[in-house]
Amino acid sequence: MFYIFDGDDDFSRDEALAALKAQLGPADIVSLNTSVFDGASVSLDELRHACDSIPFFGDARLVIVNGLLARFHAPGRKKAGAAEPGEGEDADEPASGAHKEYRTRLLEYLPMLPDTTRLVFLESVLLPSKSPFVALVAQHPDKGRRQAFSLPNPRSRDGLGELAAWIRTRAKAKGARIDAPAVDALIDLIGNDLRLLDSELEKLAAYCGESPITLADVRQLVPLAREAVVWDLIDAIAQKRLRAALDTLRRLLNEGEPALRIFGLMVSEYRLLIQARTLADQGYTDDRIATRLKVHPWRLRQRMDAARRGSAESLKATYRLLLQTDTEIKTGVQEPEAALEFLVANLCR
Amino acid sequence: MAQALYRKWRSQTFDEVVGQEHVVRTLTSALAQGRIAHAYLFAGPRGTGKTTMARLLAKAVNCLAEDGPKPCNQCAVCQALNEGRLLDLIEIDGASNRGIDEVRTLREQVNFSPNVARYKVYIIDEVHMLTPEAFNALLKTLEEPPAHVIFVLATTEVHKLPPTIISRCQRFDFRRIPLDLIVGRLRFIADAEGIKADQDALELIARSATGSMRDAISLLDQLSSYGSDSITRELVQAMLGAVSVEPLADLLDDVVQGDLKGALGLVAQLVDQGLDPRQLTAELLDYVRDLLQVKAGNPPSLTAAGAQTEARMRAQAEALRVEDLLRLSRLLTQASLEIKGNILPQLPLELALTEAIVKPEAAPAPAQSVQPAQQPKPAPRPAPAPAATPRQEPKPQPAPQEPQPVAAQPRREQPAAASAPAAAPASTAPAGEGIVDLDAVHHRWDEFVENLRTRTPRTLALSVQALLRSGAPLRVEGDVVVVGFPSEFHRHKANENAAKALAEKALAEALGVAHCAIRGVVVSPQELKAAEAARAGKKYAAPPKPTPNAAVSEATDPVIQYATNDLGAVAKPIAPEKPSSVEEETP
Ligand SMILES: [Zn+2]
Repeated sequence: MFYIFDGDDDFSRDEALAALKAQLGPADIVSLNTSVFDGASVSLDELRHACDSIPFFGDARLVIVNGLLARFHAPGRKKAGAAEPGEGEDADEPASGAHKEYRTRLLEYLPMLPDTTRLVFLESVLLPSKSPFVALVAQHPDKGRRQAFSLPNPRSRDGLGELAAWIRTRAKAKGARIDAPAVDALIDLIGNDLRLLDSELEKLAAYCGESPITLADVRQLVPLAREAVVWDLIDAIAQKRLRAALDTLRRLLNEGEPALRIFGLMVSEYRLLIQARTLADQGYTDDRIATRLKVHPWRLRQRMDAARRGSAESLKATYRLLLQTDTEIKTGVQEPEAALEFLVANLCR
Repeated sequence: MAQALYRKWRSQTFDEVVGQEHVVRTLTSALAQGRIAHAYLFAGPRGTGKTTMARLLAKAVNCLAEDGPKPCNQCAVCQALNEGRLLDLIEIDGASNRGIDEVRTLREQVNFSPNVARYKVYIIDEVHMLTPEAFNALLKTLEEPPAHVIFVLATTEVHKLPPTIISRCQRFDFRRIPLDLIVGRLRFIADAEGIKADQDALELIARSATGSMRDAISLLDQLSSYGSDSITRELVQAMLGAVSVEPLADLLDDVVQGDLKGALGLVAQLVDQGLDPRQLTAELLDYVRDLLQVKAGNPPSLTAAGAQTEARMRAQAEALRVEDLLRLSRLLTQASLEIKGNILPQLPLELALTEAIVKPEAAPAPAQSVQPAQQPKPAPRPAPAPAATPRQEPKPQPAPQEPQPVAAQPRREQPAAASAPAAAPASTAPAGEGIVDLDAVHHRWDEFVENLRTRTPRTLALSVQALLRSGAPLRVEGDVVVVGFPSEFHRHKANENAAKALAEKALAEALGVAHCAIRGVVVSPQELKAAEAARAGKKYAAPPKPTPNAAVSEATDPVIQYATNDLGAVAKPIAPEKPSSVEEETP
């Protein structure tokens, strides 16, 4: 039996592999019967030798090859090099004839794999639908299986929905419920890094137990939420809410966030505000601004209020003041945490 | 030795952990459900309990107790771990095992099953110190950790870790431990150990530990082994150079009430007690930061303020505007910068306080509650200072303080210069032809003061700058620019040779004249304000006319006398400890 696990979602791919391993028996026995190859260097003979061996103790041999099949397609080169598809003209592969032969012989070999062997091809890119290996699976559903793993794209509407659904399902599998603002916040903070999302959900599920995961829990537990907290700070400054601004800042500092990093985040937030404001003044719609600046529409909507407040000039003045304070800290004129607090108080006036 | 108490009182159960509630709750609940990750990342400031938590985790996953909370601290595994003889707990210091070879060895060992426990737990402290190659090797293990292994990576600098490592770990961020929790823990330990300690002493210890429980307990340990009967505020102050909150609050009261003498007196007293002026300035800055929080409606968290102090802080915050606090912070920041390498380290602080008190920023609205005391308190004794040098000038002290146009003897140096043999040759020669005019001085003054920072020697230049910031030009007499200062103390400093020479040279350049001189006189706050306003081109009601009763007789103040004496100005029979001579400052 051979498996093709392809696509850019390595987290789900790893999980599928782990599930396969678990089917094969106890972990220590499986690991005795496992061979792992690097697709860039493994020869067909090596591969066949590993696949044809009889399992040691257990019932099955597991052979894993990382990134072999994509080599036969080289999708990236098609655009960069000659327009003609195919591997014949591939300059990076000196023995192109040998290359072609490798593919042909592999295609011939796969249906003849011993029943006791599981051969897994892990590919980090999606194979083209016309790939002969995909076709081979279609011809021999009993001999091969393909599973494509693509990351949902959070920039598209569909991708966003897909990602939100994934988060909810995942939370449920961990015995937790999660409310909509928390889902939005996780997507905003983490995007489609499924491994990280899973890890944070694991923590959140343990932390919340029976009660649903809320935005406040996300803020409390997800380290990346610091960036969102910095946003809260800027929002408070924009609204001249001194108390909220100073409280947020003190909290960040007490959580061990280095003052200079807070500065860095503030600088990039203000840069974004200035850019958004400039585009808005030129008549761009919020949606187009989001696309231009490559930010999540949700994130931008949150910021447009602050971006429109006051004059564009005052935004720039704040930005300059920030940079100046930053320099003063780096040159030792001011002590970072104090400087930051006084600056924030100053901006709230 | 310093670690002993900390080790002894390290939390042995999750319940005992102080702070980090979010981590404790998540971990205990995950453990109860048997959901154990294979790699954890504990990030956060030092001394906040990362390794303690890691050990607790190691104990809990391996504890043999059938039921009840884990760790039980009773079973064989718990005991072995507590006694530091559990082979399956491997603690690695990332700083001293940072290379690829160490990580390779680790990777080999990882594959062996645990000796007795369920899991082998590897704690790698300061993991950010690993080399890139070592990280790569570690990553391979983290990608496919053996089922019987748990990694806990601890770091104070998480941003130095490769993202690939971070994404393979369940990350927890540890926070600074709040002051009151540290104080509570210190009290608990002190009581259990039979250490007598005052509450305010413990608060002071907690404050100087800035959120680190380890530092706080180590300090308690050191102080308790000092042989003193009990740990008092004074002992902590002496040992740590820390300032307790009361004097800071007192100083701020002086600022609020405009009591310059009180403030300077207190500073002198604290410095006398051996406090480092730099430390004092820093603590004062912290206090002002907290005051800002209080002003905004938040609780103070840097200063361990009890209810009483907090009430005082609220009153002070009430009396001051945000602008005032920001200005004070600016002055103090400037002072702390000038203190470094200053021959008279407390001078910048004294000047900062003077400026904050004597020259309050013009209040825009009738928010006059800010600086209630514009007039200095009447000096108790108007008597001429007997400290005045017995040499020549039978005139009593107050004379030069009065800004009366004694044009007859333009810049006859006040007795102050007496101690210096060279009485500034330039200033003795009447080189002036009246080329300097007041408008030009007004016009150039800011620029001149600002540019002082570029002159050398830098320390002196910064002092002169700070000094002149608290004064203002009054009038011109020939080529002599008469500058008003708020106190005798300032006036004296300004008339010191080195300072004077530096300032005069810079001023001449700024005015584009060959030579000019500066003479300092003491004026009342009103006059100073008027001069200030005149310079800023504003109309101001009170002209800078001599108002005899406005003369400040601070020269008679013991504090100022102390200061003057300490400056080496007067040849008094009672020799000061540090007769810092003027020559030392000469460029
Ligand atoms: Zn136990």
